[in-house]
Amino acid sequence: MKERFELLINKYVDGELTGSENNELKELINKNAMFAKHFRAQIKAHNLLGTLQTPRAPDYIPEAIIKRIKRKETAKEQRRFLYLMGALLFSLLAAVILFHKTNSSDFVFFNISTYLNLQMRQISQTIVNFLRRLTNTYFTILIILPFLIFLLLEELEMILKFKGNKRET
Amino acid sequence: MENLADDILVKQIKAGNLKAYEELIRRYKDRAYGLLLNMLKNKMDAEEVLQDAFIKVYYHIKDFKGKAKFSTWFYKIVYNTALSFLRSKRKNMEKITDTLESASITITGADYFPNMKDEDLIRNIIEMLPVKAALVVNLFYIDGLTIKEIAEVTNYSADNVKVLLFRARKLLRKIIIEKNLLEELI
Repeated sequence: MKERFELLINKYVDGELTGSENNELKELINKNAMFAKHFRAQIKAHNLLGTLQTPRAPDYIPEAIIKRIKRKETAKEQRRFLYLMGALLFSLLAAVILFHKTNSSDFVFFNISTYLNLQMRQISQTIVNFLRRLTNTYFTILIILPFLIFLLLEELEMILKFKGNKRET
Repeated sequence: MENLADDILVKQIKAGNLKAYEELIRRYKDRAYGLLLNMLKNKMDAEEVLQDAFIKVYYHIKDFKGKAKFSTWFYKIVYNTALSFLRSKRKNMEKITDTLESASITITGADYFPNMKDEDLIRNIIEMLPVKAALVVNLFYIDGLTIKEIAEVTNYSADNVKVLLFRARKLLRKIIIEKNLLEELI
């Protein structure tokens, strides 16, 4: 009987009682004082729950969230800036190697350091020769130069952004 | 901006409009805070998780395809962030797996609420509920989500949500009677 009462009281609260179930619930409440007490408690709880207002979050929350996002974005930009710097340096190095037209014996870039041992020079030379064979001047002009220009523009944009962010903070 | 529908706000946030995002925070912060207070039972934790949840929303808003209501998607993020937080706090692990029955046993004493307004009184009672029950009560009564929406947010089945709501109501009733609050509430 108790289980039946629980089921009916829930259906009542949700407005799902059929006519016969409604009569059944009324009968249970009239016959049993404890059921009547529980019914009253349930109705009151349900009504109060329905009128509950949401608690107010502290006022500083929106500002704190925006600040945290801006910090995250700045950190992300810094990482990107470093990555682009690395890529730019690498590209410059690659361009220097590829544009440099000297024969293997007086290859300036790697001969600058006369202190390096012969083996190191030979390895470097092999890499350079391989790159030269793989690419040609046209390829260098068509691919490396636009890439360099792109990187330079990106760097410029990042620097301008940094200045903007600094001014904001 | 205040009168814009959620869908339009979401579109603007996707396009990088930070003002729209600020409006979204203003619109949902109180509701999410209420939910988190019920789940975490601690103001400081609720504030921290609230910020984390909103940051997640910002970075994952591109994943929102508009198939469900934005509020449902949002509550799901808030709920999952709170769960992760609770999991990370090992001592609170028990609260997650707490059964409703065992929690009801711990509530004793008769004079918890002297001279309290009805609203504060019922809020205190909700705070006494175990995490799952408080969550379902909050989503159903305060945020006005349907059983189906609550099921989506919590990943429970609709039947499971109904059972939780059923048990929560029973427990609320029990607390009210045990503490002789019936007259106070009338």
